[in-house]
Amino acid sequence: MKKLMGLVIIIKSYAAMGFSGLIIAYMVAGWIYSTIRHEQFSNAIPFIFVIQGVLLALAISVLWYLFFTGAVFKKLRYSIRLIGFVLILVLILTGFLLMFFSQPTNWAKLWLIIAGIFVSVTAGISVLGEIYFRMTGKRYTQSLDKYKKKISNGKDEKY
Amino acid sequence: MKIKINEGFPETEITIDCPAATDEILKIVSILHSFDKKLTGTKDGKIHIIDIRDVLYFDSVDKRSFIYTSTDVYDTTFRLYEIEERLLGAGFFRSSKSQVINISKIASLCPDFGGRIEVTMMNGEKLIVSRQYAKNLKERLGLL
Repeated sequence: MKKLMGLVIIIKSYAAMGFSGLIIAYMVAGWIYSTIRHEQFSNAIPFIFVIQGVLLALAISVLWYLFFTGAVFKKLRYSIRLIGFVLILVLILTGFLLMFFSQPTNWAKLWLIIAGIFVSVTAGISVLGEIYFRMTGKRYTQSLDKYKKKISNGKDEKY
Repeated sequence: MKIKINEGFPETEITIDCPAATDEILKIVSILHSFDKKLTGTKDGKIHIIDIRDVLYFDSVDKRSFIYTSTDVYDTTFRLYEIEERLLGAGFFRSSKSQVINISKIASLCPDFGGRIEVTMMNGEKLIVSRQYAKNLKERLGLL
């Protein structure tokens, strides 16, 4: 139960981040799209889009958990995990597009742009995050090694 | 400082002859004490004496404490806070409400989401330092 609750909290926080990102992507892409097409951007988010946003954010958070937290793919190379993540994400987005926009509409185009931005930004964040974590981890490990030498010489008086 | 080793005795005894018990001497004594720190743990109904230098970490589950070495898991009657007190100055740190980790058995560290730190032990096992205790570890390692 404790483990399950821990998992729910992780998925929920990723989903919250994903949903926020999706709404930001919608606002930015909607504004650019309407400017290019010389149309009025209503500044209102269609309900269907909110539903998709929630479902998508949940799907992404599960994917993120599976691919990037080391909970499932512990020893898989990062580049392979990233490719797998993006491919599955594109598949999910295509499924969403076919499910919610079976008829070609302007909204479908806008949605495609948003999805494109979202996939790129998510992949970008993942790459930057990985670089940051690796660099910081290296710094932490160097400090750890120094500290180990210190304690082996009995120099840590504080602890 | 002269160091003499006389072999052939049934027990190890260390005597320090010095003009005064200076800070340096006290440090030496403290290190010697940490070497002598041993724990007892039970496994399969048998009592084992475990050298703390072999311990990877201590874990507490459902009010029971366990000692993890690279090869075995032992039960211990000590509560985690008692273990923490006993191991003061022996290079261990509290990583979460239910874990105490041996720093000298950590292979690498990596930051994790939410201010946590992922610890990879020398046997490849991965443990997590919770956000609450990550700050103490960083401070100890001179990262803050």
